[in-house]
Amino acid sequence: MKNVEKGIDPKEIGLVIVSSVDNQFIDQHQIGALALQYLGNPTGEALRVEAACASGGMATYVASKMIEAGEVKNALVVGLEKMTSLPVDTVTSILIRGGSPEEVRYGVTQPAAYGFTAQYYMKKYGATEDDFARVAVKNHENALRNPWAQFQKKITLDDVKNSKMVASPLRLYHCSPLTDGAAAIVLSSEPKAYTDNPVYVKGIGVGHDTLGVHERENPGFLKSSKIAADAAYRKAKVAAERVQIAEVHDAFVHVELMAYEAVGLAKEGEGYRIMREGRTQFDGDLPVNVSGGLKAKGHPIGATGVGMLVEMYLQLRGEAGARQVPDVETALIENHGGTGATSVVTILGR
Amino acid sequence: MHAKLIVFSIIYVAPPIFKVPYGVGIVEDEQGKRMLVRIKEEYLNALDTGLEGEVREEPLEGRQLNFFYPAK
Repeated sequence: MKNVEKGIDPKEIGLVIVSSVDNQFIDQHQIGALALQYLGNPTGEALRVEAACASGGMATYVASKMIEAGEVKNALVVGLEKMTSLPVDTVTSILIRGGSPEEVRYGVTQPAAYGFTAQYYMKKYGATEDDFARVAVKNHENALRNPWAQFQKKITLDDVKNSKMVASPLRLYHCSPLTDGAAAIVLSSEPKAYTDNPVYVKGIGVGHDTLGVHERENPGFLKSSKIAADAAYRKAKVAAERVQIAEVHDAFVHVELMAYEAVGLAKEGEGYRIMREGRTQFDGDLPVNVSGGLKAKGHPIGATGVGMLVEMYLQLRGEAGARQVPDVETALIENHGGTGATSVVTILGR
Repeated sequence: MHAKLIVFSIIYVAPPIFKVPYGVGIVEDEQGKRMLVRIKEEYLNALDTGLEGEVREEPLEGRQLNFFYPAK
């Protein structure tokens, strides 16, 4: 397996967890068992995890807990989604079901539900459409350094502000794209058997909130991500100040700013301020979404949470090529589903 | 029922069963209870957060939904 320089025999993988959101994308059930079959370990165990766009993070959480409990020594987590083979109308009909049953009944699409959070965030904390556009511009610029990114195209603030409206106040360039993609990681209780350069899951936490945005006291704050981050920091025994780099779930660009606040990289209501100060740019003191983020790297929903871990794994090992940030010791991943009904926060370290 | 518009979104891309554009929003009633509403096309240009109006339940394509009517 690539990046595990000592190699690993597939028969040493006791558990395979596949993250994928909807069977319609690949027209196949039992993909856990199928992945195990492709891996070539007939005595292993396999399952599939679904938590909307947080599926990848949740699959990692389950694998991590199984290893921690001593149930397995090595687990393979695979995230995948193939979204571009279906018509956009069909994909929109699938994605709307990430909302609450009532949101679905009212026709509140995911961009509209996120639009509620964007408008609330602007009104409550004073962020502007320019702040949202800055995130899109930054992440597209970052993607230019990532050969795996879906978009290799620099964009301007005006490109974002003049793009067509999808669900106000969110425009096309505020939204992550439909993407085909896959990512995989191996978690092990004995990593030094397979590599001299291991990356450790220092802490991982899960948090939840209501599915419906209208049921939340503060729709401008990612409560589930705060719960998940608090748990991850507690487990890792590190403070937010120790985080040097992060990948956060910018399914819609304003949520990147909300994520800064939820995981403690900025105070509540000040996420857009650290963006304005340039701190989260590639050359800032706290680079975020150096991969290009979901916005520009792409958002194959079942693969996303795993892909974010792969990016931080590469950064921690010093193997991220042109987008390598120097001397990374502690990295954070925030991966949420729906508009934040499920969130998984992971702290990785050396 | 009297209510205030907390947030709204005008939707231009939606599953085919919904005719675009249409408005959706979150309103708050006098007791502070929040609920989802639909907003008809003729009111979409006049929307703003904090707008007051009435909520009425009406049928739409086989469903009973709450609609928000901004005060004149």
